[in-house]
Amino acid sequence: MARVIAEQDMILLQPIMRTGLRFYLLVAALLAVITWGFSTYYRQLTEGLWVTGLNRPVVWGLYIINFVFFIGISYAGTLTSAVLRVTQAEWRRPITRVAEAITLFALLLGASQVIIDLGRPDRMIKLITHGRLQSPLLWDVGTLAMYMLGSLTYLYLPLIPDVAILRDHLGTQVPAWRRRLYQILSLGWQGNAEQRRRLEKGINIMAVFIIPVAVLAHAVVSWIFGMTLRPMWHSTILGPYFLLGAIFSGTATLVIAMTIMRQVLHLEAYITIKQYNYLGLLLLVMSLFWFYFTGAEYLTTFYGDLPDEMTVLLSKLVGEFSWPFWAMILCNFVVPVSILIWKRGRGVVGTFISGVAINIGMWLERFTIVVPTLTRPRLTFYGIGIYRPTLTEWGLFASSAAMFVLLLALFLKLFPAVSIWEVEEGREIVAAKQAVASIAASSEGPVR
Amino acid sequence: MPRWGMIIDLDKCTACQACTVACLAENNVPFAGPEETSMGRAILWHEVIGGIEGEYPDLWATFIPRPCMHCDNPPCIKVCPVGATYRREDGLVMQDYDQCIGCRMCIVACPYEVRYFNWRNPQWPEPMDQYLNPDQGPPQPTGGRGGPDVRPRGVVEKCTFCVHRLEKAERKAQQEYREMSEQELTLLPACNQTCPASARYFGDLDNPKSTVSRLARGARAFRLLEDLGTEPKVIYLKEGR
Amino acid sequence: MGDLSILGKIFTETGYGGAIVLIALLTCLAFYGSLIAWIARGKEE
Repeated sequence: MARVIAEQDMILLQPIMRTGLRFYLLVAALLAVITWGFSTYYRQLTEGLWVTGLNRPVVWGLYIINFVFFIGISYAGTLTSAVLRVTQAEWRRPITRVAEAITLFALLLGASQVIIDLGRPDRMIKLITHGRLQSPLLWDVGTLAMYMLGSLTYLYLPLIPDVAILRDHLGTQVPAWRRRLYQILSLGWQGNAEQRRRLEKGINIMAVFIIPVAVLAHAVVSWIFGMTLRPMWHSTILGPYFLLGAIFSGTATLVIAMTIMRQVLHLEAYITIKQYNYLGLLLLVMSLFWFYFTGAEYLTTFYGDLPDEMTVLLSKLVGEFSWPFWAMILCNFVVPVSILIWKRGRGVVGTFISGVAINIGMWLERFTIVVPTLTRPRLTFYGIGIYRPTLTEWGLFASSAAMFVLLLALFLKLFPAVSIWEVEEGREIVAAKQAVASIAASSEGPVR
Repeated sequence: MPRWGMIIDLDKCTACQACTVACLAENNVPFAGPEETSMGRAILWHEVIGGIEGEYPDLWATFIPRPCMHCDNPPCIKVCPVGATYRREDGLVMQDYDQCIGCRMCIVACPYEVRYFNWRNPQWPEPMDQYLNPDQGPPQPTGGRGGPDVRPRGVVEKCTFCVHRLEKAERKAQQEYREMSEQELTLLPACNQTCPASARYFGDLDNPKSTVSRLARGARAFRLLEDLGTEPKVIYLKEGR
Repeated sequence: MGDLSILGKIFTETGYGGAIVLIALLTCLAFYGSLIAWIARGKEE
């Protein structure tokens, strides 16, 4: 029966049963930041987007950068969970839950960035009532909504057996509304053979289904840039580049989240050096790929030497955007590669530092994609645009990030951080393998 | 059905900016003020762009009066998610202020940068607020009016080739059972009417006998960013450089 | 605009795209929902 929880796994229920002062302090701090963000947004709603640093020609700024950034982070779950599940990588088991949660929450925050950016959010419904399929923006609306619902389902399905464990084990230790919640969400899970078969099948279907949806969603995000005629946006590499960037930053975010979780919730027994080593290798490979993609794009532009493209390129290499550009190269390539190339570097500390660096670097990458191109209109008579984000924009960035952390914290307060039944299943598989090996060894014995 | 287009003779243009001012007054373009203007928030449906080109001592000045190009293949229409920008049968590219959701993708898509966003509520200093143009533009698909009607905050706007004046003149000609004269057409948009150098023409590009189509076929004719394939309907005339 | 084929119309006219997005979403919802319902019914087997 899946409902039986091993004694050693009881630690996973601790944060759900007991809530310390630390948690309330964290929530209070996050709520303070979020409140600040809402107050700045209220001002923007009532006075218009002039409270931002946006202008002509830089009509898109921090909001669109953060949109791409959060959507990029969402790849964490799809990759670590779905791809690793489909390829039956055993080491995924302790980290799938948090990866799937990151996906859902990052998507929610990402989608909200576009709404923040709209001049008339009150007319948003027109995207459905008057939507035009020709616009890349509508592709975004469609695929992101599909992706969001899919990731919600994909988070929920593997949660069912664990919710049943909570339902059966927590009893009166939690308030009545939570018992009711677990009761409903567990769908009457008893862990019988038919239920397990159906659940496994359902998860497998969703894992296979969500991979192409995610690929499409990340490509479509890039196409709101790539489908325009702007220099250095109108490029075929943008779709794959954004997809790769999403895998890169998603995995990096997963490393950060799981490290904090491991320290705060004492999950050292679950999230081991093995996970860090594999994720570190993944990040290393992605970093090299990212460098190759960047190099391919920039070399092609440089060699072609078209004036419109060159002015954008030079603004990044040596112009006013050289600071974010070279910081991006440092964070996305130099730092992670020089740490992760060593086996010792792929420990907790090294991988965590790389994860933080990559997240900063990937934010800078989105900045150097969105802003420099907009500052250089094709008609050079317009001169060069300048963009300085205001406190409103930074405030909304901070509160979006705080909202992301808050959603994750509340989720981990309600549900186990590690998928209990999947870890248990992993142990059974290891035990079964050992048993088979010992039987094989003993039956071979006499022959030899 | 005509295909309205504009000719601007750069050899006659003196870059006096009268066209820009006439446009602001005709189309109720809100005042941005010095601070917002320095941030790049001014709205200028018509603008004279240009500057000094070349290297010393071989220098020359270029000035290009720039309304909306009203492209035949407009990149802005393609990307609009809600159909707030559309092409009329007579070739005018219009913006429906009641439909626009303010995503600004059309601004990004337009290579000529002719589109403007209302960053805040439109405002005019006293006594300019008493002198707004009361003319009504043609009805838009969602029922509102195009043209000089005051636009709300959060939507995109741009040059309409003075569609309200055009339609008024069309109606008048119809009532009098006549075609619009060349002279009448050329002075139709406010920018053209005010041009002291008579450097601007307006008319039907599809009419082979019209002044605009004759000039458009001439050796001096060129269009901005022609290689992008947007097929702009504002045609410039210039002898060499 | 008369010579636009039906496909062109679906791509360019307002409303069609929104409807297609809505249909895609509802299909997804139905698919996810039935998957969950099917798993929930597993306890009776």
